[in-house]
Amino acid sequence: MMDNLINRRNFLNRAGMGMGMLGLSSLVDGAEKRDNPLKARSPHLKSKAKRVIHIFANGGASQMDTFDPKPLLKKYAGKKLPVHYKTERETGGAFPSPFEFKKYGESGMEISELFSELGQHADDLCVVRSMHTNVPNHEPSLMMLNCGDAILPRPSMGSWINYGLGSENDNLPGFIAMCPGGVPIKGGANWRSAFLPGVFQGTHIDTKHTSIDRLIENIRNPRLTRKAQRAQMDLLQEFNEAHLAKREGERELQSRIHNYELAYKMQMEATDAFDIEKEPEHIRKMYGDSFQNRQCLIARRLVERGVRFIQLYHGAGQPWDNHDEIEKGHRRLAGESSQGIAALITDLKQRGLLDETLIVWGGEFGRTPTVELPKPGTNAGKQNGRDHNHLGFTMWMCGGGVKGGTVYGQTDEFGFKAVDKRVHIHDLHATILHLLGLDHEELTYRYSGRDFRLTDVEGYVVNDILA
Amino acid sequence: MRVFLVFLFCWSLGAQEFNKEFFKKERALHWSYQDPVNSPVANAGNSWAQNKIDEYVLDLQKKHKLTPSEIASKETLIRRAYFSLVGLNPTYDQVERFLLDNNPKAYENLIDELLASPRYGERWARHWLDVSRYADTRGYNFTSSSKFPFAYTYRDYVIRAFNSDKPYDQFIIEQLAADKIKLKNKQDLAALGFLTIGERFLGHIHEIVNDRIDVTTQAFLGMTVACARCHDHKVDPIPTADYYSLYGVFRSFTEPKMEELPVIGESSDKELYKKYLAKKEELTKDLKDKQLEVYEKARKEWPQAASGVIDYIGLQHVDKKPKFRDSKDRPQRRGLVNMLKNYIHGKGGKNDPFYALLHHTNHAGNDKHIAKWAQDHINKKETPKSLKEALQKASPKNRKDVYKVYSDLALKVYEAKDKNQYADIRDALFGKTFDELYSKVSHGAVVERDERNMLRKLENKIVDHMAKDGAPPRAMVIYDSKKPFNPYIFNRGKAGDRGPKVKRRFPQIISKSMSHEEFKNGSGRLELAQAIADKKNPLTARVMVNRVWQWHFGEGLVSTPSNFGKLGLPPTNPALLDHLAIWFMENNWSLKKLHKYIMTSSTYMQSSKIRPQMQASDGANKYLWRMNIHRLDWETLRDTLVQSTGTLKHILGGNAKDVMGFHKENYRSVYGYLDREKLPSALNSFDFPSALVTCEARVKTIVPQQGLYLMNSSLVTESAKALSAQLGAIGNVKDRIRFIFKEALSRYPSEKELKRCVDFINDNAAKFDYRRPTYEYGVAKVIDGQLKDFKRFDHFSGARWQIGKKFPSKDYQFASRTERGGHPGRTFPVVDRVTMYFDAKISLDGTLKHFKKNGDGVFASLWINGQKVKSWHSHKSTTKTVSETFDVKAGDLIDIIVEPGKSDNSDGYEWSKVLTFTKDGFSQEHDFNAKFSSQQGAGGKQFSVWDALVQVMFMSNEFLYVD
Repeated sequence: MMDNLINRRNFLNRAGMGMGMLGLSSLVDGAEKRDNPLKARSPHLKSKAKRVIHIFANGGASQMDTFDPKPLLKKYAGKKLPVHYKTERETGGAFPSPFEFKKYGESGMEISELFSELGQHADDLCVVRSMHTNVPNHEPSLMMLNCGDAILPRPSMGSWINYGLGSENDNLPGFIAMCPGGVPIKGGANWRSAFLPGVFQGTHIDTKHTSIDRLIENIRNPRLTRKAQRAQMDLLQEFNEAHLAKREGERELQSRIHNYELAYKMQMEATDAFDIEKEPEHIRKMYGDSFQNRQCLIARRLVERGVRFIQLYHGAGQPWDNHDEIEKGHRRLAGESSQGIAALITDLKQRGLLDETLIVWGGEFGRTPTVELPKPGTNAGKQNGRDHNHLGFTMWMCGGGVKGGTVYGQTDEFGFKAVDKRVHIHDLHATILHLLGLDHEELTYRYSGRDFRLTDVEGYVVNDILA
Repeated sequence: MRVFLVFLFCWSLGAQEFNKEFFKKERALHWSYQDPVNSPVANAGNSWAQNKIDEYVLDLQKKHKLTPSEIASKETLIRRAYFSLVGLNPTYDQVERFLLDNNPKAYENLIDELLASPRYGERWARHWLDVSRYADTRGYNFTSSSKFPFAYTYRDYVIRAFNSDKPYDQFIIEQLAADKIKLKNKQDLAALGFLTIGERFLGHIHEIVNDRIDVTTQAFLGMTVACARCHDHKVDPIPTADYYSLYGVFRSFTEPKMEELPVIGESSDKELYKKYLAKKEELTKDLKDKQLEVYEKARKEWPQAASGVIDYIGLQHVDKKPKFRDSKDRPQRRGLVNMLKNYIHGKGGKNDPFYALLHHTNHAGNDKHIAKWAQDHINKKETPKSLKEALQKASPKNRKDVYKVYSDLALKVYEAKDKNQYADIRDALFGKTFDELYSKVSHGAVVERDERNMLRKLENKIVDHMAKDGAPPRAMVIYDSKKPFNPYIFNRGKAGDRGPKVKRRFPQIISKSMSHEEFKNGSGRLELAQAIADKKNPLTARVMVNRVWQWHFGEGLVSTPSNFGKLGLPPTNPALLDHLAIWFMENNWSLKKLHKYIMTSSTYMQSSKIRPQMQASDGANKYLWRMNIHRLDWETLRDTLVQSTGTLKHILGGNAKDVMGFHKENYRSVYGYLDREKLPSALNSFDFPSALVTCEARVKTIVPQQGLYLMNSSLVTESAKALSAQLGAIGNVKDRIRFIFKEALSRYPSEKELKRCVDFINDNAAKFDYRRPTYEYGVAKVIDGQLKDFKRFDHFSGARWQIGKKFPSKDYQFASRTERGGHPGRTFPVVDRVTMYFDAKISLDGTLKHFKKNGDGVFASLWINGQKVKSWHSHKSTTKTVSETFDVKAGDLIDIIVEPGKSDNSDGYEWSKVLTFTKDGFSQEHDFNAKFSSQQGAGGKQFSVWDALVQVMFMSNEFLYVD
C-alpha cells in the first residue's frame, strides 16, 4: 500500500500538485492493494483550477430564456416551427421567450433579464450553447451529467476528482453536495463513489437547516462540553498509546490515534466552515438571503478551506422543471439564485481565488423552444411551459482557466438542437478534468478486471474554450 | 477520434481465432487455468508446523530468510477465534474458562463449539453477501416501490447454508439453479436470490443479464467475463462469443410477479399473519377498485379516443405525416392507440365486421379500389347497420373518406345521449375490441399519467406491506423461459447490431477435460452450475479457499480474489493454494472442516507482534511470518458494542430490521435493512461495500468520519449509557471500573489502569455532571404579570395534549397543545415549560402563525422564572419569534406561552419553535414540535463521567482491533 501512495504522490508532485495529496494519505491509508492506477499517467498537464463549484439548475433550465436568445421564435409565435424533434412529451407551436435579453461587457454577451446580475461578469463567463445529452428524461440525464453513464452504477464526477487529486483539507470531506430541503431525484446516486473507495463519496448536506448539527452527521456531541470531551479524549489516547507500546511498529494503530485528533479538530473546523454568521454583514448582504444564495456563500468558505468539489443543487426534486408557468417559475428560480451566483464570482475574484476555482452552471438538459401541450397530470392543463430538451442546451463555466467572454457553439435558429461545435456531456467531463490537470483518458480505476474512466470510451477536451 | 477508440477496444487480442489450439496454448500460459497439484514439501518435520499448511508456509519463509512467530497467547487466540468465526467477543467468563482449561485439545474444542453456534452462519453469511452484492432494494425505480420484500429469504438461506455446512458445490448449484433440481427442503429455493437480488437497472434486460453474468463468473470462477461484453477480453482468453454463450443462459428466464413468488414457509406468527392477510386484502381491494374506476373511465372515453386514433392512422397512412400530436381535446390513452392500430392492421381487424374495411384501406397503397371495397362492405351481411348507412351516405372514393366515415361515426357514438342509438356498433367500439385490448396492455401504457401515479401508489403500498412482519416468506425465484434464448453476439455490445450466432455453453478456456458442447437442458443454467461445481474445474475450489483464507487473514493468498485472470495478482504461495483447493474438494467441499484445518495451523495461531527484522524484509507480510491485526468491520463493531450492553437479541432471520439506532433490543447487523441506493452514511464511512456490484474485498480506510462516529453518534453514546446504567448497585469506584473493563473488554484492569480511571472519575465528574432539561406542556395563569399555577396536560388524544379525556373541557375549554401549535383556553395560556438542570445561555427561534380574522389573535411570550422577557403578537398573520440570548441557571424555569387576547375566539395557532442551549462550546437544540407525543419527565443525566468512561472503552484500539 505504502508503495502505491508514494507512487501516487510522486506523480502528483511531478505534476506540481503535491500538496493535494497530503489529505489523501489519511483518507486511504491501507486502502488499495491493486496496481496503482495513477502510476503510468503522463504528468504533463499544467492546470490552474484546483477545485470545482458546480451550480446545478436541477430539473433543466431553459436556454432560450437565459443564455441563448432566439428572437426568431417571436416570428413563429404559436405556429409550427419548420423543425420539430421528439422530446419526452408532446409540444406544439413556437414559444418565444417572455424575457428580455441585453448585451453585456466588452464581449457583448447576451444574457436575459433573469440573470442580469451576471452581466457584470460577462467577460469572465464562457457560455457553451451547444451542449447535448442522450435522452430527455431526468434520471438518466442526471446520471449522465453526474456519473458519465445514464444507467450503469458508475462513480460520480466529484468522486473521480477527489480520487485523482485528493483533498487539501484533512478536516473536511473533499466532496460536498448541498441541496436545500432534501435531495434531488435519484438521491445519493448523484454523489456516489460506486466502485471507488467509499471515502470519495460526496457528503450530502441539507442547507435548509442552519444548525451545524443537522448539516453534518455526528459533527458534535450533543451532550458533552468541549472540556469534558477533551478530558475523555485524553484518557482514550493514553490507553491507545499504552496499547500501541505493546505493539511497536503497528502503523495502523498509530494512524488511528492520529485520526482521533483529526476528528476532534474537525468538529471545530467544520462548524466554522458552515457558519456564515461569521461573515461580515456586507458580504452576507452581497450574497442575499435565499437558501440558494446562502449556499453560494458557504461554497466560498469551503473553497477557501480547500474542499475539492462542491455541488449546489437548487433544491430537492427537480425545481427548474417548468412544464407550465415557465415565466413565473423561471423568474422565481433565477430570482432565488442569481444574486448569490454573481456575488460568488465577485467574491472569489476579490480574493484572487477565481483563477483556481472553476464554476460550472447548468441543468441536466435544457428545454424546448416549443410550448408543451396540456395533458392531465403533467402540466395542470396549462399551455405556458416547455418540455425537456436533450438535443441542445446551455451550460456556462467561469474561472479556473476557461476563456472569459466566450460564447461557444450554437443551437439551430430556434434553440431546438445543438448544430455547431456540439459538446456532449462526455466532452464537458473531459474538459473539466483537463482544467484540473487530469487527463480523462488516464484517470482510471481498475475494477472487475477493467480500467474504468469517467468518460468511458468517449469525450474530448474542448480546447477552444481554454484560456 | 471516437472511431479510433472503438477500434482500439476491439483490436485487443487481434483477429484471434479462438480454436482449440489457442485455448490449449493459453491454458499452458496462465497458472489458474491449470489443474491444482499437490507439490512436495521441502521442509517437512519442522516442530513449529502443526499441519501441511505450515510446511508450505515455512518453505517460502525459508526461501526469503524469514522465520515464523511464536504461537499467540491464549487470551489472543480466543478473541481471534471468536472474531474469525462468530464476529462477537468472548465474554469474560468464556475467556476465563478457556484460560483455565488445560486440556491440550481446548483450542480445538473451542473451534468446534464456535462452528456449531448459529452465530457462525450469521458471521460468514455476511462475507458471502458482500460477494453476492446483497441488498433489499432493486435500485432506482421511478415512482414504483424499489423494495425487494423477500430478499431476506436469500440472506436467511445463506445463513442456513453456512450453519448446516452445506457442501460448497451444492451451495453453488442451488444458487444458480435451485429451480431445476430436486430440493430436500423447499426453503432452499430462496438460493436463487443470488441471481435475483441484484440491481434491476429500471428493467433494462441487457444490464440485468450482464449483472448476473458478472456476479456469477467473478464470485465462483474468479473470472471477469463481463469484460468481454463489447469485445474479446483484452487480456484474458475470453472471447466475446463466450460472454454471449452465458448471455443466452441467463437471458432465458421468466420471473413471477411479486405476489406470485412461491411461498416457502409459514409466517413467523399466526396472529400477525391474520392481520397481514386482512390488511393485504384491504389494500388489494383498494387497488382493484381504483383499477376498475380507471377501466370504466377509459371505456367511456374509448370511442372518442378511437376516433382520434382512426384519424391519426388515416392521416399517417395517406399523408405520411403523423399529426396525432394535434388531435386536440381527444383523450389519447396512448397504450391503446398502438394496440388499436395493430389490431386494425392485423388479423383481428381483417376479420372484424366493423373494422374490416378500415383494415383493407390501411393496407392499400392507393385509392383505386376504395369505392368498390366500400360497396362490398355495405353488401356484407355482418357489417353493422349504422356503418352501412354511414358508408352509403358518404360513398367514399378514397382512403381519406373511409377514415373520415369511421372517425365521425366513433365520435357520434361517444356523443350520443341515448344508449340505444348505434347499439349495433356500440359493441364493436365499447365492448369486444376495447376489452380485448385493455386486457392485453399493461396499466403503464393504457392509463393517463395521473391515473398511473395513483395506481402506483396503491401498488407500492401492497409491496411495502408484503415486507412487513406476518407475511409468509417467499423465494425470489426465476424459471427457465419456455423457449430458451438463442444467443448471438451483439457487436460492440450493442443489442441492435447483430453478430454471429453462438451456442449456450461453458467458457471455453476452462479445462481441457470439461465439455464445451451446447447445453441441452432448457436454458442450460443447471449445466452451467454443474460445470462450475465440477471437480475438474481448476478455478472453483481455488477461488473459494482463497476467499476463506482472506476472511481469516485479512488478505488472500491471491489478493484479487475475484480476478484469477492475468490482470489479477498471482498467488503468494501457489503450492499452498493448490494444496488447500485439493484438500477442500477431498473433504467434500466442507467449509467447516476447512475453517478448522486453517485455524489449527500455526500459521493462523501465531502472534501478530511485529519483529523489526522481519518487518524490514517483508513489511506487507506476504509470507505470513506473523498474523495480521484486524480492525473490526462495521458489523462486528456494532454487534460487539451492543453485545457489551447486554441488549443483543438473537433471532433466526426474518424481515430486514432497523440496525442503525440503539434500541431496547438490538439485532445483529446482518439482519439490517440495506437500500442499495442509499446506504446509511455510517456504513460508507466504515467501508461497507456498495452493493451495486460484487465486492471481492472491502477497502480499509481510516477517516475522521469514523472517529466522529465513535465520539458522537447516538449508537455509541447510547450503548455507553446502557452499559453504565448497569453499574447501579455497585458502590465502590474501583469495583465499578472493574465491572466496566470486564463487560467491555472481557478482562480486569491492571493496577495502573485502575488508578488512571479512578483519577479520571474524580477529576472530571463535575465536567459531566449535569442533567438534561425536562419538557412539559400544560396550562397556567397570568396573575399580576406573574406566571402561576402551571398544570400539566395529562391526557394525550393521539393528536392533542389536553386536560382530562373530555374535549373541549368544562374548566379549560379549548386549551390544548397539538403537534404544530394549539389553542389557549379562555383565561388559560398554553405553556411549553422547560426545567433547567445546568447553567447555559438560551435563545428561541421560531415562527408563529394565526389564521382567522375573527377575534383579536394570540399573544405569545417567553418567560424565565415567572417573568416575561419577550413577547410577540399574531393576528391572521405570520410572526417571526426570535429572541436575544439569555443566561439561565440550573433550576430555572423557562416558559413559552400563548395567551388569548380579550377573546379566545378563533385562537387556533401554529408555532414552530426551537430553543437553543449553548454551553462552553457545545450547543443543543430542542424542537418543541419534533418529539411531541411524549412529554419528558424528570431529566436524566445527560452523560455522566461513567458514561464517558464506558465510551472510552468502546473507542479504544483494544476494542477496535483484534491481534
